[in-house]
Amino acid sequence: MLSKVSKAGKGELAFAGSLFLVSLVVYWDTSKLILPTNNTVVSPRTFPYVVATLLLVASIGIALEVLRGREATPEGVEPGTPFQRADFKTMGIIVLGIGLHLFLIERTGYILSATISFWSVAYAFGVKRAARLGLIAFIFSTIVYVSFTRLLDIQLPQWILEEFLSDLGSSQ
Amino acid sequence: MNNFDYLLNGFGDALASGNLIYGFIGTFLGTLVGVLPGIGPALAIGLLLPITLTVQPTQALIMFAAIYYGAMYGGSTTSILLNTPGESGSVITAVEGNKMARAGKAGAALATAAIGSFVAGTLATLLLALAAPQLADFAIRVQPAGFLALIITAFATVGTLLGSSRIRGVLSLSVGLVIGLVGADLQSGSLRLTFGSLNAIDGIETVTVIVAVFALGEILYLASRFSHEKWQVIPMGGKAMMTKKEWKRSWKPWLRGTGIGFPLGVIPAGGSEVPTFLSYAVEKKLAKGENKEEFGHGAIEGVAGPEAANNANAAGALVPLLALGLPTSATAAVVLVAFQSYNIQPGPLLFMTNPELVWALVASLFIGNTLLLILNLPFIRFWVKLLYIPRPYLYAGITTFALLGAYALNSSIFDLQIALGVGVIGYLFRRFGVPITPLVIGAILGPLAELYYKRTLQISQGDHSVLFDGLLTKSLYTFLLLLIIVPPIYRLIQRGKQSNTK
Repeated sequence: MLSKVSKAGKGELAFAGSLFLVSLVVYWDTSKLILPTNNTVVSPRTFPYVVATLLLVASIGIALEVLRGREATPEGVEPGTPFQRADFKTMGIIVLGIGLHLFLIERTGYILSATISFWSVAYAFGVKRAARLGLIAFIFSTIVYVSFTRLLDIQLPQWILEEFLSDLGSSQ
Repeated sequence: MNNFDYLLNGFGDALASGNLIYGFIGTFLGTLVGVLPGIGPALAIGLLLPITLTVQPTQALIMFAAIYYGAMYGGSTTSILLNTPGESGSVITAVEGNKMARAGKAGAALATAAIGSFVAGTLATLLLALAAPQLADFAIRVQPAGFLALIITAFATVGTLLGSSRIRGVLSLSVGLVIGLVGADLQSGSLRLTFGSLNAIDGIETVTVIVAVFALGEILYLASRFSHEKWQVIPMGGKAMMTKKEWKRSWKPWLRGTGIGFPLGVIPAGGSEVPTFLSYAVEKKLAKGENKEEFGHGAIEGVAGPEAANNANAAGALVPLLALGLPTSATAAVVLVAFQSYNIQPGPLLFMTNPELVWALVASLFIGNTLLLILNLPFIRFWVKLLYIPRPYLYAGITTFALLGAYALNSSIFDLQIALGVGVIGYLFRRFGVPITPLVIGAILGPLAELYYKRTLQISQGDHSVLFDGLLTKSLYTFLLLLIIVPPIYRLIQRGKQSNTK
């Protein structure tokens, strides 16, 4: 039965399978819940069990759909268009850039981490001149930082750069 | 004071010089972000949320009203000139609008969309002002069991009506419900799905989910198809104006679109897909002679009707949001979250406790809608320029603001981690044809559903039969039952007919 499933269908089976696993995790987590000592009419377990069951049933349902040959149509694609392999390289650069943003934001401040994520998304989508892009990303991030912290009073993580900017602002 | 006095006061509030500027800013920002390709109204509001964090509630509401209509309208420009609608409500506009633009009639298409949006928005806001207080009056007597039934109805209709596949709608809803489970249980304080993380105890920020699933999910999806996609802006010739004949062909579809869009926004029919599609079908059916032949090649009725339906639907969705506290579309869900960030809880009580806020909002909707027309038609060329922002920079900018929005709310890296995770879920959903809106609705209404369920059973001391007490609950559950049973039976009958004719 599985041999008839196309490559895209196998991907979808994996997708349904992982959500199936998520539903099992919800069951497991709910079963270990520490119940409150005071008597409650409805246990805090009831609702999670319902949700987990819904997810379980839906993920099995998707898997059955795929096995019956009714694969999903990706968003914005005409039904019947031949399967196109995902461009994992472009995606990978973006995920890496966002990952670095998470890692750096509270270590090296907002401007540098936002420069990196801006740069990696634009680079992934085909901007060729890396150094010029770096400059644009830096200027953009600085403008965003200054306008949000100064005009909107929203605090963003500071580092050397940001402190320099705020010194510049206060000395005036 | 009666409602009319409140409305007049609302106009006074919204037009006060200090506040009107917020209306202008909101309209400008809403249109700006809405025009940008790939940003729908839900995401537009989500991205603009940090900007409104530091202003007064009344001013924030005025801004939101303007942003709401601005973002709705902005989408039509994108779909007409670019054929990449940023949201489901503009898909139909893209069908005929883009064909009109290709035939050199971009100006007329943009004009009928703008004026149609204004007409529909104004009429629908008027209907909203009449309907919402009535509904709130009624809702104040609704028991927790009734609210639970309403939420379950919203789950079912949003889950099943959206998208091509019911099972995928249910899947999306249940993933949303799981996201809503995370954190301390509201009543018992039991920790669910926190896996020892202290940050997770407060639960997952809804804004983070919305921004991540719409922005990061979309960016990743576009990246996955990067090597296969082409993008072309159709240059706009002439002015955004209509000929006398085009006016004549537009005004009836505007009114019909409003008539279709508003009621479908009030009932939880799951967003703007259904009304816009219905309006398109109606216009196609009613068109005669050569106008009918134009359908599929750029018929102005096919832009005027659905665009009006889209805007009227957006106003309609505010009725249950304000009067019941129930969002029926992703965009309404974001507006709910925005209200909550100001400690304003929409619902029947809001009309009693804060009538001035409600009516300032309604007045702002009228004003925002008018500002929109003033800002848009004469300056359309400025907005069109936005479409020429190179794609890589646009996506990089969207990502930056999405990450900023996710972080700025609590200044927390945990929120950014969640955003990345939810972004990947958003990508997978798009890749496997799973609709996004049920997830958003599930994440927001899930905890509320549990709360009403518990309240009902506490009142009844554990007796489940009260869940079905009352006319409202009985009729809602009957409706749901029909919704589940009728389509398969209908299909069986159709199949039977087919085999008879063979």
